Amino acid sequence: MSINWFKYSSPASFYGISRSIIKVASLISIILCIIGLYWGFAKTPNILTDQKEYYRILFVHVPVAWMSMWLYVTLVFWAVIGLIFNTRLSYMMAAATAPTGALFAFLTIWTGAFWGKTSWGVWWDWDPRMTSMLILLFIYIGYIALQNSITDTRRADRASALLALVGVICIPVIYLSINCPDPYQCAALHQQSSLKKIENNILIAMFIMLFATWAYSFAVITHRLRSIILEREKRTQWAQDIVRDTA
Amino acid sequence: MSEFFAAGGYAFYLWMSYAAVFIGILLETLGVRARFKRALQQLLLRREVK
Repeated sequence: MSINWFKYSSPASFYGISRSIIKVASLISIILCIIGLYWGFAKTPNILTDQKEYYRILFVHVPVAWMSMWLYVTLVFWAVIGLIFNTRLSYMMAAATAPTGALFAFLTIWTGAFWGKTSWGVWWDWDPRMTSMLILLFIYIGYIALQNSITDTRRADRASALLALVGVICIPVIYLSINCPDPYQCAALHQQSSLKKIENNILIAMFIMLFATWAYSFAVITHRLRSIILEREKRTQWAQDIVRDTA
Repeated sequence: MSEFFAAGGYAFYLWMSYAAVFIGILLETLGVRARFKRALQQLLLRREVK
């Protein structure tokens, strides 16, 4: 049995299945979050060799940081699909992704500040990783602002898609800011990332929380997408029919 | 239990991080639900006007 994926590129078809997606993703997110927190607080040591209990900030800091970058890549993907194929749903998906990405970028900086204060004694430093994450937050804000400042949605979609495309350069910069080929060239508070050095239980908790964050993003973005679809398709008959069924 | 919440003297830093994430997620969820409700109400209003 083959599935006709192109069918779901129409807002009306996608809207029909979106409710089930939200329910399943929300449930997965809640279950994984409970398991991840249990694992992170009950199965991991209280004190590591060089870090005390505050290292548990990692169980929220790392997932939101990774998701803020991943969501930006997703946003750019949908924006590019929209630019190439001129599909309405792709632009809507990009628009629905941006606020969640911005929230995660903000939370990365917030939780990072608490980590920084305990670990390095400073709330903020112009370290390459922190600075590039701040730039990512500004790009998200710029994308949302541009989208909302142009009343013609088609023009707003195209303009913000181009901005998103230019801003994608920030992602490799964030990655390279701690995985610099020459560490002497980029002095940073952050250590080079190495998953092999991390204790297994900490790694398991971190990945469970990452999948919980991923499922949450999937649910909340799909929910926002439903609103965007209704806002933009309000003149269509199928949207009117939805209201008739709901009322 | 109090030992758990004290987090080895790092309670403020640890719990403020978790609180920020959960408040952020809660506010976003409420915001998204309110927006959807608003979009449905606008459609309903449009239908009544017709």
